[in-house]
Amino acid sequence: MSQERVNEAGGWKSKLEELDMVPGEPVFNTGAAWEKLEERIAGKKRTVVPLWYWLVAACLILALMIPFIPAKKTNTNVVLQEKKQPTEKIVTPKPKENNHGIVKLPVIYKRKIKNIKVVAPAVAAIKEEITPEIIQPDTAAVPLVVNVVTPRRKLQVVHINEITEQGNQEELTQHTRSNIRFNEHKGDDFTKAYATNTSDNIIKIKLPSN
Amino acid sequence: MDMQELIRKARNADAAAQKYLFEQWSAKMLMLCRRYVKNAEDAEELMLNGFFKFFTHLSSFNYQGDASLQAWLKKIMINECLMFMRKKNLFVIVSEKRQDEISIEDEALNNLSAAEIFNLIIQLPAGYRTVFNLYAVEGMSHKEVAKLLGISEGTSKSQLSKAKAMLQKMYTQNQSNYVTRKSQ
Repeated sequence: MSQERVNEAGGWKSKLEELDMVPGEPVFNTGAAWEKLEERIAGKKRTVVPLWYWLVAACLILALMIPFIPAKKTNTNVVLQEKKQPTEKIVTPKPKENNHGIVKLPVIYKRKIKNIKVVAPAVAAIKEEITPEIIQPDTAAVPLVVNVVTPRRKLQVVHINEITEQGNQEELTQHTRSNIRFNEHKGDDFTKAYATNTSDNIIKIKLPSN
Repeated sequence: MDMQELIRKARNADAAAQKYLFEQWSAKMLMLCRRYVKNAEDAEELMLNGFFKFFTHLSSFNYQGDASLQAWLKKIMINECLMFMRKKNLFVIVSEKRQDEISIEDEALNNLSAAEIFNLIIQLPAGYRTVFNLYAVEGMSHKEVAKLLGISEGTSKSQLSKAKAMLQKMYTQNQSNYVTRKSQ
C-alpha cells in the first residue's frame, strides 16, 4: 500500500527526503555536532567502565575478607586477655574511730601488679648465699603486696536477759552493773528496767502475767 | 568504504567509522526531525539523541543493505521526535469523526521544489503535520499511525484530510508566487 502511495506521490516525496538543508538558513555544522555527540558517547563509556570496576572490586574485597573475619575475632580475644592485668585489693589496715564516734570505712585502692621476670642465674646466686631452702627458682612471680584484710569489727548483740539468766553477771563491768537494776515484781506485771547513768532513759517491758 | 565494514567498526566503538556514518546521514536526519519539530535547536538535539541511541544499540542491528540502515535510523529519529512532542504537549489530537478525504493533487506538489514542500509542511499545526508526515511521507498506514500516536484510525484519517485541505489552501494562496518564480 505504501509503495502504491509512493508511486502516486511521484517525485515530491523523494525530493523531500533528499533535502538536506533549508535554503536561507545557516548550513548545519556537522563537525560541531559530531563533537557534541562524541562527548556523549565518551561520557557513556566512562560511566560504564568504573561501575563494573567498582562492582568487581567490591566483590573481591568481600570475598577476601570472609576467611579473615572469624580469625580476627579470636585474635582480639587473645589481645584482650593479654591486656587484662591482675589487680589486687589493698585495704588500709584499721578503720579508725575519731572522737565523735564516726567510724571511717576502709579505703580500697587498686594497683596493677607488674610481672617481674627473674633471671635464673641471679636467683641461683641468692639461693646459695642467703636462704637456699626457701627460695625456689619457680617462685619467680612472688607477689610484692600481701593481702592484708582485717575483718570488720563486729559487736555481738546480746539480749539483756541472756546476760542475767546465764549468770554472766560477774563478767559485766562495774560500770554497767551499776547501771542495771532489777525492779521488784509489782503485782501481775514483771518489769525490767534498764537505766543509764541518768534516770531519764528507762526502758520498760511489760510481760504477760503467765 | 563498504557500509557493512563501517557498521562492524562502529559497533566496536571505532570513532572514525562512527564519525563517517554520522557525516553521511546527519543532515538528512536533521531535516527529518525538523519536519516534526519546527524549532531548529530542538530538532538538532533530537537528531543527536537519535544518533546516540543508534550507536549505543548498533550491536542489535542486523545490516541488510543501506535501505535497512536508513529505515532503522529514520525509525529511531521519528520515535525521538514523537516522544519529545508528547513530553512537551506539542500536539493534542482530538478524536473526530471521519471526514471525506480531500485529495491534494500530487501534480501540484510535484511542481514545487523540496524546500517549498518543506516550508508548506512545517506551517501545518503539530497534529496535522505529524499525521501527514507519518502517512504521506513515511508511508505508514492509518492503522500504524493510530497505534503509534494512540488515536483511532478515524481520527488519523480526519487529521490527514484536514492537513491536506490546509496544504491545498496554502498552495493556492502561494500559487502565484510559485508561477512567477518558475517563469523567471
